[in-house]
Amino acid sequence: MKDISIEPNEVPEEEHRTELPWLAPVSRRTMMRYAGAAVASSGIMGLLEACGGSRKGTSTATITTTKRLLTAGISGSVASFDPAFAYADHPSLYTLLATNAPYVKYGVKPTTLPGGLKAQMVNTTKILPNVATYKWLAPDKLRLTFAPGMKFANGDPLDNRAAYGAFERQIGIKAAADSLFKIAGLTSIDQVSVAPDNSLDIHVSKSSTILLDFLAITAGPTSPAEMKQHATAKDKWAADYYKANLAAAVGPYKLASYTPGQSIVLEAYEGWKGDKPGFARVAQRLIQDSSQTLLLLKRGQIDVTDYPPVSQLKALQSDKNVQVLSWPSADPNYLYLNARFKPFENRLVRQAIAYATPYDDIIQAAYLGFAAPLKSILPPAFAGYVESWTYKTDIEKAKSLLAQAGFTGGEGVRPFTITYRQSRESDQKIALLMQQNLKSLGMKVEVAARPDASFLDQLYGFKLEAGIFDFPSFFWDAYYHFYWNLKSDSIVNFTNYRNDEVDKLIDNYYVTTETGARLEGARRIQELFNRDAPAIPLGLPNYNLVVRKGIKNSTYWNDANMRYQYFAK
Amino acid sequence: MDARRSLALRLTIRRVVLLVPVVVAALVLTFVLTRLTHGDPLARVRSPFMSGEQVRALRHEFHFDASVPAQFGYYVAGVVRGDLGLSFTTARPVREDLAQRLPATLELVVVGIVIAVIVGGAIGIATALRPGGALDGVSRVFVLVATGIPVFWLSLLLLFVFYLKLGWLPGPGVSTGDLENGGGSGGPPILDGLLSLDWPRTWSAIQQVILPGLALGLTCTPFFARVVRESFAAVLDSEFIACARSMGLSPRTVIVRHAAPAAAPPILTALGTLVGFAIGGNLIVEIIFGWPGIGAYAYDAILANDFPAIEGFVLLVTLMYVFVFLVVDAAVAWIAPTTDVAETPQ
Repeated sequence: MKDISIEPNEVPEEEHRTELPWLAPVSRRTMMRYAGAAVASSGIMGLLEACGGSRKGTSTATITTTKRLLTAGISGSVASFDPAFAYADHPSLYTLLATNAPYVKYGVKPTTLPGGLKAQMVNTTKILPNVATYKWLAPDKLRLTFAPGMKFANGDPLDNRAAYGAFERQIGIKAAADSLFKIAGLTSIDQVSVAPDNSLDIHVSKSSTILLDFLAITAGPTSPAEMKQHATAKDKWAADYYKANLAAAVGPYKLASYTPGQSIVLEAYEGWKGDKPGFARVAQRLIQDSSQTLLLLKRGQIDVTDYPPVSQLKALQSDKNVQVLSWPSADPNYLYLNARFKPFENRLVRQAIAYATPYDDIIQAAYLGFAAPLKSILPPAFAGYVESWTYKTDIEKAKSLLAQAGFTGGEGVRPFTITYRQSRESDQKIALLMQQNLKSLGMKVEVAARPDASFLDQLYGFKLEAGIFDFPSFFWDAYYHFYWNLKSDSIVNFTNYRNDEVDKLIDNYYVTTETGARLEGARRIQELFNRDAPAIPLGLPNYNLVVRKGIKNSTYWNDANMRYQYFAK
Repeated sequence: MDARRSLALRLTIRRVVLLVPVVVAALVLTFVLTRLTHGDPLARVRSPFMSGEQVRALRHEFHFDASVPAQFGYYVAGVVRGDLGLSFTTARPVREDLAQRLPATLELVVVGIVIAVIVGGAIGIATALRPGGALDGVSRVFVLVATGIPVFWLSLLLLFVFYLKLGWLPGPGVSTGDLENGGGSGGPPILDGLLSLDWPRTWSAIQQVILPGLALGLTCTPFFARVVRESFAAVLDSEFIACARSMGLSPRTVIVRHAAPAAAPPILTALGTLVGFAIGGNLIVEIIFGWPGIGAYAYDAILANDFPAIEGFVLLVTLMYVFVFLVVDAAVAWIAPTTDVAETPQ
């Protein structure tokens, strides 16, 4: 660690003041003396300002991180540390991704970003061993094997029996992992069994390798012994305890300290058998205001931050001390048109809106160029992607479709509101651009910003008539994305879309080994999405990461979350 | 002396009695207002993967399946037990969150108030002593300008100049030194440093509080300077001061012995108002400077519809506000027993 040398201010040893000079009458001479002192002070201030740069090395404001410490600026607060439920807030997610490694992991591959910057990105076609090695014993039987002598961060042994206990919780608690496992044909703990050589066998009811992907994108084992200590009769899975406490798990890091609202500090876990992390410690500053993040970044007090405000990216690009890394992402942004509300039950109206959407303006004005057009419901990174969205901005065509729908000049269309999240500056611009174009069709459109919590509540409750929302599938699979967005019984089918053919194709090909038919089905679903236009693909905003110069191995992951263990200096 | 004690005691009892309706009113108002807001308070903790049964269990756990009056009953019963509920944004008991963050807020408030009292007091007295003079003119301009500067702008300006450009003082959030040592303590940084006899840490904490303290203090200064000036000017204009001067008392004696006590009641009341404002109203300063106090906590809670945290914050601030005025009234009664404190504007 770097030594910090601070010289305290001089403190007077004794009190010299014996009278209160400000009470005495002030003579002209005294006034002149004070004025002279004021002028001299101003001069000194100016001089110090000029010397500001030369003081940088000694100021506490510019203590830079050491090679052993990576400092990240993260927005948000911890809503839950429970790996079963932590899905929305970055502080808990990033902490879990560093401390609770999955059984297997995706590989990474090098990539070159615009501007010639070298970086990495996830390789979802390559699945590597992580906490366990794996082997397909049969098309429906996966074996995980654990290295001997592994321990959770609290010292509890991590073997096949402990892993069985961890699966018991993951399946039993009925949360994110359980939802995914069900899709893969793992619905009961009875399908998991302890096997010889410190192994665990998993029998799935459908022949497919999809389970392996799900194991790569969900948290790995946590200590069942610890869970039992905190379980109660009412709370079998110790869910209450894990809301505020990080589970004993295994990963490149372990928790060093957590100060709510301030910081989460991690340190390398000596018991981790996988690749050693690039930094001995990671300090996550929990930051409420993005302006703070940028100030700290410019002064070298944080090394890395993600999701910087797009409006700041150009300015950051001109800062020689930082690098702005901008990957084409897999985070599609849509305008969801909820068919529960008029006029969105009318396909022609939706098509008219699709033609009225200012696609190019959205990329240039809302995303300031840090985005790509979205030409399907799927991002291009997904296997099965077909450039299928045929709509281009054409106001006349939109007017004509509206007239065909019986709303000539927009007459008779029920007024509606486009709602977006207050925290998304780009979405606000998109909403305004959409409003402008739709008004030119004669529609009466309001735009409304909502705090994130309120927006999500309305969205998940299917109460939004038109909402701007991104849906980044962390499993880069066409059918995974279709399932959540288009399946009529999906819990996040925000458009209330229902197409029996789409439902059937998803049911048939979500979990299958028939690769050719799967791809053909994906093509057909995209074609139907284009025809029905239940949602408007607005764009594919880049994944942006800002790092101090010298930080290497920045990686874009399938879930667009940072994994600190990969960074190096 | 007995009259003073008796009055101070009477006032204290009156205030304590008044505390009950004030707190009840704050509880009812906050409860009703939070329920009138958009959105489900459980949105933050409710995973889309939860089954209907799990969501129902969650609603039941937090009594959101009960009628609003019943919810209020549960809440009041919890408050009486000292249980303010569980925060949805931190997954911790609100009482623990507030207890952890309050010292940091108090530390910031103390620094801010000290700055406001020193700067505002000096300006107020100096201008009252020489009304219409050059200093008075300059001070008036300063007060006018300072009144017009929004606190967020002042905060950003201070950060831009003293942190980003000059690098003299630390930036927002927990200090880098603390991070290197394993993260912030979560307690009041200066007090923590002093208690642990850790001088580098104390010094670092002092540096950390200067900018937010200045932002808060300078925001409070114009109001305080005006009150001090008006109080002193009124007293200095009065007959008993003219009489004291005519008796040949020194200016210092006139001011300290006679003018100051007479001018004190409205100043003390203003001070109480300032402390109340600073405790409840320093939210913006805490957010911009990443100060880990209750203001920043309340901000997060409001954005996330975190009802228990919002209610806990309002309750705490109400209690502190009432307590501050209790102390102020007692002090006024002690200093100027002839003043009818009940009539003092607040």
